[in-house]
Amino acid sequence: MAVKELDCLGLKCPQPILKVVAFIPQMEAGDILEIKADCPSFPTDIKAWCDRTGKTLLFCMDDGSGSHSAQIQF
Amino acid sequence: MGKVSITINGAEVKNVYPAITIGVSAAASGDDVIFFVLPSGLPAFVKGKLEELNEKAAKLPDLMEMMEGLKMLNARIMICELGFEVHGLKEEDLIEGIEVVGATTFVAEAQGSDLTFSF
Repeated sequence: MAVKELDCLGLKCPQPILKVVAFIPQMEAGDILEIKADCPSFPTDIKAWCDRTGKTLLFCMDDGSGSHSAQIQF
Repeated sequence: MGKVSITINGAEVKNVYPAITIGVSAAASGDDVIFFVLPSGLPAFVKGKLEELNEKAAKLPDLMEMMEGLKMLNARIMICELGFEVHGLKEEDLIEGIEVVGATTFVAEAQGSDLTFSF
C-alpha cells in the first residue's frame, strides 16, 4: 500500500476531478491518493465523486489558506 | 453508471463551456456521455475554433484539457449533418473524433438517458 500525491492547485472545476481520474491507472487497490486543490468546489466535488465511484474519502480538510487536502483510499 | 445526453445549440462560450464542463464531470464520474451538436453549434467544432473560445474565456477551465479528458473517457460527440449545408462546411473542416449523424441516430443513441441538458 502506497501513499501517492497529486497536485491540483490552480486548477478549476472540473479539472481536479479529471486529473484524479487520469491518475487512476497509477493506483492499486489499497493505495491512498493525497490531493491538494484550491478550487472552491473541490470539497463537495470530491465527496460526490467518491460517493458515485465507490471510493473511500478518508478526509478532506481546509488547509487554512483557501486550499484543501484530501485523501482517498482506492 | 448513468447516461447523460447533452445538446449544443450554439457556438459561443455560453453554449460550449457549460456543455463540455458538465459532460466531462459526468464522464469522470463514470457516466456514458453523448453530445449532439445542432447546426447552430457546428462552427465551434471547426478546426481552431475551440482554441479561440479557450482564449476568449481565459478565466474558465482550460477547454482543450477538458476536450482531451472527454476523449480519454470515451465520451461521444455527434454532429447533425444538416449543419454542413447551413454553414458551407465539410466533414474534414471539423476536429477529429466527431461522428456525423442525423437526429434519428442521436435520438436512438440517447434512449434511456438519466440526465439531459441543452445549451
